[in-house]
Amino acid sequence: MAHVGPHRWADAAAGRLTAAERRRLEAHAAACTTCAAEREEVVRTWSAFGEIREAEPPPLRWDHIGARIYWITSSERRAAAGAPPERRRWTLPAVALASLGLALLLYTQIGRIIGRGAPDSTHASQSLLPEIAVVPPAPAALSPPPPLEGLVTFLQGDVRRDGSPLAFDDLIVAGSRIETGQGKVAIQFGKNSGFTLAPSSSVVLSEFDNEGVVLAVEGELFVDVSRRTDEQSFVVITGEREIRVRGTAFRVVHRGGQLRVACGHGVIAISDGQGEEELVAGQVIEWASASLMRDAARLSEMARMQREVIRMPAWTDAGALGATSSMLAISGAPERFVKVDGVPIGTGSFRVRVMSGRHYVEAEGVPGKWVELDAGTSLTTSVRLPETTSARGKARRRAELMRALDQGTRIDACMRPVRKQGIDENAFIILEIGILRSGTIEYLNIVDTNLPRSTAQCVRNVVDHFGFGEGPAAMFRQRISL
Amino acid sequence: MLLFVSRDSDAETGDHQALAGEAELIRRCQAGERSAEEEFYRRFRRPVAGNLYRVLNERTDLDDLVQEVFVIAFRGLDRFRGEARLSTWLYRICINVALGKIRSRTRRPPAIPMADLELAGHAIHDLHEATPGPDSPDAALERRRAHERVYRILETLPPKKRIVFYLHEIEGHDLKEIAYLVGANPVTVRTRLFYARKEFYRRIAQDAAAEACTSRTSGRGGQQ
Repeated sequence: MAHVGPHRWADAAAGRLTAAERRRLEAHAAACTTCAAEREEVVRTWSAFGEIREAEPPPLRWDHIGARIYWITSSERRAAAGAPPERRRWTLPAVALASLGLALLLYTQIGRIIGRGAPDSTHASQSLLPEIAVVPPAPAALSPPPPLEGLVTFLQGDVRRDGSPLAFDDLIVAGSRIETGQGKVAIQFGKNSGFTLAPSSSVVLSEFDNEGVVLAVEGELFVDVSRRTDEQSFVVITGEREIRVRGTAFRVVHRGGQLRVACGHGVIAISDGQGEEELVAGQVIEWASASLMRDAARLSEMARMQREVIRMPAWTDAGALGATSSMLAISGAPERFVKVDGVPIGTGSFRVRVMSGRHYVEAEGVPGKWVELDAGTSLTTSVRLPETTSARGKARRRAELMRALDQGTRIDACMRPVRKQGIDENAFIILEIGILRSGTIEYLNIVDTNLPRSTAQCVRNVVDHFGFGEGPAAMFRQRISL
Repeated sequence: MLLFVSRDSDAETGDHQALAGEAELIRRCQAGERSAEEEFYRRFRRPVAGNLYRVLNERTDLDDLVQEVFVIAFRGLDRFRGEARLSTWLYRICINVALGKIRSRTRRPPAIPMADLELAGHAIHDLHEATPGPDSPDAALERRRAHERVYRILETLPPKKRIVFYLHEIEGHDLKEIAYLVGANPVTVRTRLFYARKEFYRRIAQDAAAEACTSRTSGRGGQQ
């Protein structure tokens, strides 16, 4: 008998063979050491299959994954809801084309009909139909390319625009000069295009339209631009030199005549009027020495660049996105990196643009928390390590809150629609509140409630206006029965 | 592990309550109810991660893969018509995501080994942790080697054959079920399985022979 195919031993182990077949194979293995060894191996593999079948996955950071899923799906839904219907965009050109086609068809058909009756069709058609002169279309007047508008996605510390403090909702247009003191700002101007200006730097948006972007930089700038067409240029001017790109991510440091450029992906060309240096992904060049850097330094530079340009996941246009997104102000510790939905954003206190909805905010060593924002609103949250407040301090602030609630008729106003509908039984709201020593409410979040969203928001707003006096700082959660 | 439950067996088991609950959850998700989406995620996240982990033996990108499965699921829930149990439908998505991952791994070898180094540490740790009771370290090591060999040989199979082999030999699904999961007809599945099994077990046998040869050689070396 020929040797047994190894897969037959798997069939035997799985009980897929008849008793007779099995006996025949066993008899062969008893006389054949090769097949016996193979049988042993296949059987051992089968037992490994059983263990693999029962293997449990490693623990994952479920909240992060959940937040990212929510971010993606909600962004897509909003983008879909906000997008103009595709068909409408093509309606006018389509009607115009159809009319033109119909006119041409009629013209040729009439010509043919008339031509059929005449002895010399060409001549007849020429004589009977008015001669149509083919006039080349007049060149369209050159219209300026559509201007670009940039949207602030991250703002921290002292940032000025044309000499005045930059507001988070300001739209950035051509001609703007943005300067940072001890601050930092990220600006997005397309689905995958944006830049981040580091502290003690300035950028002038000399050109900022659909065909060309020219940024004049002094200081440090991170750029990430999506691929440009041949008609679109993107130039960063650093003193005497120009950096031209198509689609790429790079970092420019231009201080005191020294230039350092790191390319994250894509290709960039640096020219100084005399020559041109091309830089590909993963390379860093220092113009003073004109030498490429060592690998370790290069890798850390690249890793840093990964998280520098903060962008919105869905892009419509700056105005629309500004109106539909929200500002999340985060008060964090300077030494702790804060992540929003698992994405590292920055350290300390800053404002970041997010899509409306729920977001997970966390920092190293600080328990993460969910925050919820409505479109066009802003919310401040703290991700500092909890201050060590005494139980007495917390109790005092709680009592203060409850006293204010007892006196407040505004809460009753919030609850009136719910009471009218008779759905106020067991109504509650759990608030998370942080109160500073000065009595200022540092943050106030709705943790849980069985109230309708608008009512819960109304109650939260009422609490937000409570005047707490000076006293101990306290952070606590309070369940309020309404 | 997600169970494959066809419509017929649903009727037989009479698990109407579960089905009704599932239908309600789907309806709420389709209506865009956030709490329903969260419930959906909470209910299925572990089975999804488990399936992906077992199919791919992948730790590094597991969270990204889980995310991908749920994003696809939420995008496609509107089109879900209940032709299978929700868990089966999700399992199908898992299989497709896993197939995509296998293909991309085939095209592009895994890049930065930093995380792997970290994981290797975990693996050694796991080895000691995951050997409770009478299992000796040697037995645990042997078991781990056996698992590694299974996945190593699976890696050598073409992606479609690998998936079919995994679903049949390891998960124990029949041809009809696999056909639904991979979106192919049962005859195609049978053909893929035939070649995959021959190839896999042939390699297992070769591997064993090579190991035996190596140990004999090293044994001789030791005597000298």
